[in-house]
Amino acid sequence: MKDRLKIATGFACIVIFFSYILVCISNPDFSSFEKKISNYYLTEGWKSLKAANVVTSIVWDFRGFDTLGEETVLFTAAIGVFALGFGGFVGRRR
Amino acid sequence: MEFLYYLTGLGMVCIGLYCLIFRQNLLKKIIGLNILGNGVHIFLIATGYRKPSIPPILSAKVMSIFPTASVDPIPQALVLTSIVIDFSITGLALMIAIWTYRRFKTLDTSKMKTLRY
Amino acid sequence: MNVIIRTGVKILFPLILLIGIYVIVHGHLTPGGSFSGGSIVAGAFVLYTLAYGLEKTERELKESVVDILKSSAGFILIVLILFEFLLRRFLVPLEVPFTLFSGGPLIFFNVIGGVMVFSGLLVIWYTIVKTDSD
Repeated sequence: MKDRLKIATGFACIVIFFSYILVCISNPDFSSFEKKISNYYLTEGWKSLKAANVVTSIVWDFRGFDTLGEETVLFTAAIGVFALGFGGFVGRRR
Repeated sequence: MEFLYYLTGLGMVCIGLYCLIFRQNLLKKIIGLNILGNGVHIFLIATGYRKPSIPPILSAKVMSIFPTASVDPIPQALVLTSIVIDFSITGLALMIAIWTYRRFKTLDTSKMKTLRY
Repeated sequence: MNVIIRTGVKILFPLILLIGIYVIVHGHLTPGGSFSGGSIVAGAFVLYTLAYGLEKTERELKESVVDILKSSAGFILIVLILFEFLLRRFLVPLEVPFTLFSGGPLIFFNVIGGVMVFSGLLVIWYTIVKTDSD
């Protein structure tokens, strides 16, 4: 029974966390768009780069280093899978 | 109306967490991990909704009202990165599951609790 | 796999490849870009492997070629992102907006990033199929 109590407490914590985020978002002072950085990207993306897709210009131009880090993660995962498939020596030597 | 999107995200997180804890097959745990990640993605994109919802793609006829009528493009860029990272993590987890099967001859995690080598 | 699946995949495989390349190249005009288009192209090769087996797929695209593509695309991508401000100064003044030649350096980024994503997913798929268990 102690196991069930701990797991029920875990689920209640998750529900409380998400409802706290909901209360914060529904406050119009917190989630209005006039002073935020999305306004800057929506107006500046056309002036400096003349691209029609704002999401692509954010991903490659305004936040290009995040995309570089993500390509590193993809590359490392592919190398890890290749090394596990064709190169492991656990229990085969000595 | 947006309350339904938030409820969907929260429900998927709960279902994914239930599969990750209570199931004893290793492949079912990996599926639960995937569902957990997708629930968080749905919750993140739903926070960027605005009332006259126009997708953030410019064209010649929405140029004038664009900065006050389009949805938020920043969570979409972050979730795009996160989906690719989740897929590569699933691939690596499946490879580790193949190695675990070769070592223990079973995929049941309740029989894997030995720490000897 | 039996005859029905093989005939269907033989018709569908070039169409899915074409749609994937279209989504990659038009990444600066319509929703899409390198990640969605790369996933679609990798999905086409996974479908071909499921229907025909691994030997026939290796005749279309060898694994060594995929390895070389992945490494070279990663290297070119690193160089391009670090020196992007030079490319932007030369390309943005001379272009026509809302056509294929607009958007500055975005079309190069989308194509090379698409090659990187597609080859990364294909390396994972080939390795998982080739290591036979039990």
